[in-house]
Amino acid sequence: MNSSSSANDFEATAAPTAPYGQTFDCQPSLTDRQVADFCREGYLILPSVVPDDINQMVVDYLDSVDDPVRQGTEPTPIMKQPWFVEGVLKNPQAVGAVRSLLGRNITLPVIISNHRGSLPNHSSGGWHRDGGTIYTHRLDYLQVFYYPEQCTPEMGPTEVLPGSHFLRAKANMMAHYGKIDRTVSTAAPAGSIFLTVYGIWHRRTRATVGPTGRSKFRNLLKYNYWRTTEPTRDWIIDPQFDFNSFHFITSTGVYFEQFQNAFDAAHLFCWLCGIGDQFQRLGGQCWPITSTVRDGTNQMGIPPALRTGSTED
Amino acid sequence: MQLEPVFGHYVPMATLHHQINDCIEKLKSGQLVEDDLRALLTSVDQRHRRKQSLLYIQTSSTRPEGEVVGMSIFEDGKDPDGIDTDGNFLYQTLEQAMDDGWRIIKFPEMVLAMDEQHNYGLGYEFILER
Repeated sequence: MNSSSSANDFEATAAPTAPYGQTFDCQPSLTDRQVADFCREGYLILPSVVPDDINQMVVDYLDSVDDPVRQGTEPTPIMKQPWFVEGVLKNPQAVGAVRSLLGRNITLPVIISNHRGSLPNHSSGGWHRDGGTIYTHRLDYLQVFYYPEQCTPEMGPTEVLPGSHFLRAKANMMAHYGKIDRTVSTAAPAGSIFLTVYGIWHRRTRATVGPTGRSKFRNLLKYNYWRTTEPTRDWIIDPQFDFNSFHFITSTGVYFEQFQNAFDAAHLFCWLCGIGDQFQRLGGQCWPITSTVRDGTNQMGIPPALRTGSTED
Repeated sequence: MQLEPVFGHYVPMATLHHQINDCIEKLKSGQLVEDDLRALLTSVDQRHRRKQSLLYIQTSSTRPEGEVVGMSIFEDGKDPDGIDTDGNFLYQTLEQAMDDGWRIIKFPEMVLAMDEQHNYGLGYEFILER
């Protein structure tokens, strides 16, 4: 395929059916610390994990369906392309992280969206959380994004507000927000994938550069994976990881009542470990806010399974 | 006579002071001319007959000197993100905004801060106008 590929070219390589919503399994790739980081920040960026040949085929495919009739904004039939399923949706590094967070037998997406941004675009998208968001200490699905081409800061990458998956707001009541301090840009090389908690605050930034790259657009695919099993701590366990000294407070903690986001992140982490019922918020200097305890001391209220010296799984 | 709306650039009070002092100095030296006074009049008109502008500032606490964590501005000719050409906030503090002619018309909504378990919205929001 090349930049002049047509939709017909891709029909020739399409499988008869797409694996919409099918379950699959793989090995987890995240450690205790990385899972806890995700609970705290609400996102994880995996730079350049998709090979260049796959990226180029994705871009060609997206260009070939770039009109409303062919659903350029929702090119879900790309899931009929085996190279897309294997190279992107089942990309080992990406699904290793997804598997770590959602457990065994995760489902493949049922729709694929493309945020195909024109270049340039002098206005930014408004801050929002995606429709369907609920605030919870469960993690039953993940919102995943994929840049098939390099997205530089000038091409209007999405920015996210770390920790905002616990910052309650209605999307329509966020529309007046402008610059927010301590946001993180997802500008990244081609083949980068980033995972988010579904309700994280995000927006497209303004694109100051003209038509760029192979596509001449900023393409950003978005899709969800779903959990099918009860949560359990079956990612890569680090016996040396100390839950007493881990800092659950995010860089945007100043936007919360003091320590509030640490409680939320720790509660989510406990739920992922399958010990959500052990989480308790005692009040005062309790776990997880007293991360400066010394000499292997357990914080007050830390769940038994996470205590230093615990033999529980 | 029907007044024509004047939606030019905002004229800060400091600029008016400067123009008036300049006229006083010219008056003292005998150099004041009609054009000086008409320029002053135009500035006064622009200041008083301008479309209302809005500024939202989110801070980390209810204290007006608190750290600014978010900003947006809805005023002709201004970047709605409330940033300067270097990408920094136009005002580092609420006080700086007030010095530039903004007046607070709404203080942070305290009802949202009463929930012990949850946080709502971005920080503590002051709404200003000029």
